[in-house]
Amino acid sequence: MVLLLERLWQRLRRKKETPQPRDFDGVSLSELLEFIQSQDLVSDLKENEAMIKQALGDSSDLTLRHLRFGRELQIPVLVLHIDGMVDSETLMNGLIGPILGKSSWLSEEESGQRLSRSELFLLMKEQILRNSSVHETASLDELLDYLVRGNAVLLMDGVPKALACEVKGWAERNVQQPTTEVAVRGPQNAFIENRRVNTTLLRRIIASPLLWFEDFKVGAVTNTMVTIAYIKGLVEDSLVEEVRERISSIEIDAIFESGHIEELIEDAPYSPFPTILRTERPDKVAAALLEGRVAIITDGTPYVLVVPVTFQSFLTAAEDYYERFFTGSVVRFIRAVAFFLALTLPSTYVAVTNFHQELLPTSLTLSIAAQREGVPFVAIVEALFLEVSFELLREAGIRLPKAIGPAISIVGALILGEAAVSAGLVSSALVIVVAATAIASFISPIYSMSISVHLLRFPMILLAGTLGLFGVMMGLAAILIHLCSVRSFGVPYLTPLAPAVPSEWKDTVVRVPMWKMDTRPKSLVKKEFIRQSPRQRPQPPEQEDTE
Amino acid sequence: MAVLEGGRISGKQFIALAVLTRILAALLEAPTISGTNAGHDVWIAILISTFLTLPWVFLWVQLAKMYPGKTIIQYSMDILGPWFGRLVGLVLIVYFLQQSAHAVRVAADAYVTTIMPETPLIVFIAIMTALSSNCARSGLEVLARAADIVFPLVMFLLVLILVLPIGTADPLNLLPVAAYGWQPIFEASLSSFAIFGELIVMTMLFPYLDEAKEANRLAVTTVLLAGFLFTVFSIVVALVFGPAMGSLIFPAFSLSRSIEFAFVVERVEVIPLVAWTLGAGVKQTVFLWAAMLGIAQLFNLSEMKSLAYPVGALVASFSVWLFSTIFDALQFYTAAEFGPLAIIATYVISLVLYIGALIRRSVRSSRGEEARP
Repeated sequence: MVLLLERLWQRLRRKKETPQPRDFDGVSLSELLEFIQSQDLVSDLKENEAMIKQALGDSSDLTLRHLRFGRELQIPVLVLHIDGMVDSETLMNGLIGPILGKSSWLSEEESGQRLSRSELFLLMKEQILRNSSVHETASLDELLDYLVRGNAVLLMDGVPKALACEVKGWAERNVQQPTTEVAVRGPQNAFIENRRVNTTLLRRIIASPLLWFEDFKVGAVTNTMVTIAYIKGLVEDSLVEEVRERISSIEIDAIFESGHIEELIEDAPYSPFPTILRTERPDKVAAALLEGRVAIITDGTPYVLVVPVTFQSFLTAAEDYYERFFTGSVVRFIRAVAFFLALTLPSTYVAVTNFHQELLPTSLTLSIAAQREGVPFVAIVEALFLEVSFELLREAGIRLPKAIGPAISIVGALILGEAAVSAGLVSSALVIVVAATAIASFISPIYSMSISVHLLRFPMILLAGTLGLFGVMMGLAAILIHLCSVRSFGVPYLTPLAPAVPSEWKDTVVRVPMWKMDTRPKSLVKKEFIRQSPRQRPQPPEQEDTE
Repeated sequence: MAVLEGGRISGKQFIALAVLTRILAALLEAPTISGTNAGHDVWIAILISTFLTLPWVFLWVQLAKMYPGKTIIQYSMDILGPWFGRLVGLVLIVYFLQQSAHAVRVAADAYVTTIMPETPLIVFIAIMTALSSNCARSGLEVLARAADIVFPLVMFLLVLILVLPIGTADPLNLLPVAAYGWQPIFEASLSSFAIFGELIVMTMLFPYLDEAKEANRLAVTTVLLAGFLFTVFSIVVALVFGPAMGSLIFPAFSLSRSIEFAFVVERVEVIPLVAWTLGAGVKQTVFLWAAMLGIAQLFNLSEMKSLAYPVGALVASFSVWLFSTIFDALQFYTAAEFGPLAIIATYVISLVLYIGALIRRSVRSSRGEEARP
């Protein structure tokens, strides 16, 4: 009976507790940020706790642990952390354990001395906490920043300061193979989304104290950490200064991917050609750093930016250097040819078959003419139709679920291709041309370049269809003039072809053997460009004259 | 006054620009130098005219050394005073515009006459001029870099069409030398000399060289290289075509047409043609840029970028209006038409400027004043 009455009473009491309106309702984001930045911590623990809870809106993942420090003093201490972002073992053993354990009990002498609260705070920071890194802060803003980045924050009653302790541990991907830049030979690890892991991967390749990192916080809401890396003494100081300036002047609310940063700091925003390299491979970044470039690592994305870059960098794969020079040179040449083909093959086909049939051997001309006999469309319409359908296929293919991917691709290739030809919509020669172009366009290891060039073929087809090879040449001339006018952080885009720097040709047109690559690019490194001694060519040992 | 042109070009780029300027029209129109009677001896005429040009090149370099950092338009105002200087500048600007128009006309006409006769001429001229104005607008450095890339391509194709037709060459075609006496050869060399005067555009480029003391070496290299290539070209044309060369309109085109190689490489004349169009575009842009710079310097303008499209339009209209047929364009530099005027506009003016500069310098030093302006 009494129990029933109690339960009734509790239910009545609960009804009275209507949900209160949360604080900060109706206030805009920038006002909130300003408000938070203006607050400082106070001595009273309860007030600090209320401030933090208010700023975080009492989010459900905010975890509080109230402790008492000292057997005799029993000072209230509060440890806060965000659930899911910390490693509980470290938190327990490094932070909470020592505070509660015997080592924290003050000796008779010390408690007799009646240390002040701030001295006790210092004691806790320097002698009791076991974490590898401890920061002290007095502002609410910094405290919250530490908190949301996965640190544990400790507040002591009577002290208007807080300690942020390193206990990070959250779920994330392991270091795996690169997804977009697979190499046949060479290191198979790629950057992941954790900035610290990425910088570590770089340090593992370049174990030099002259590899310097600088941090920036970008994004008013995301507060994304961006790190720039360079090798001091090799890199031009003006370049580092320029990168620093450009990144610090970004005023945006969110940065999710390095692509956002790329678009905000690049030199030629309207150009179809990228002026900043984006890569997943640590070895590529390390090689670039050793050439005097600067790397920009963004937290939350495995793609690292490298500046400044030239056109040549987009046609280079890391394994050009891991294979021997003969393979490297030939493959590089093939890549350049494929790049050119990806741009001009469909337009050249249209131009030659429409305007300049005399360029083809007679039998080929007759064969193509026979194929085009039943096709109702003009060559340019046919070419555009096929190219557009290929683009549709490519874009859709990226999002196909893995289960039905192979089935759809067979459908697309066999049925669509074959059927279109049999139906007389397109000629088979054109199907071959489109397929060859597609294959050639994926030869550039960097996606942003290959896709831009691939898309430029559409205006070229239009030019070819109206003006023949003259149109193609004018299109190429327009692209050339555009490329000549682009600079990437001060370095002309087409270096070392234009302005011609012959000393750099040994790594551009061909790839000379490792023992001949003795200089760094002059356009990037002005001070130290001899990189290895000249007598490196391996030689067989001297022959003995007699046995 | 703001800097009009901030670009700097390297020695290689200078040679690329100047040689392309000289070679292109040569390949497409000469060496028949239509209207002269030199016939197969025209290579002698060209050789003579190359060496005739050399002293004038030294003169231009000297002028550039006396007035470092200034183009010919600027120091002509210094030497001859504001009014005569401006007059001379105006003459030079008109000359540059004319050269630009000539370049684009010959290139465009090459297409209309040979491979695409149904397309109206203005289409080719308009497209080439639009690209050229865009390039000139972007400044000297962009133009120099483009030339840096176009130059090896053009040279490679030139060597190709000089070497491949040797199979059909007949050495007897070069004989007899001077069958009609030396007078036709000297006339032809004078016409060629008149065209060589277009190298006065070098004086517009000297102030923007990376290393000014290289100017002498670069200028001489340009003239010798261009002259040499031109001479070899005329020899090959004479060898391959013999007495028929007098009736060729576009000898280079005909040369590439005569290439037969296995069963596949034949009728390939389109490929050299389109490559030369690029080179002709460079020539057109060089003169367009020189005219823009000249106008800006003559009238003390603050920047020259905005002049690109209007002056380009002027060049396009000149190219249509000045020459009614292709033959007018090709015969432009013969003694019968513009030849003597060209000599006046380039060589005589240079001589006058040089003498004027010398007089000024001696006057100033005799008056005991310090350095010249």
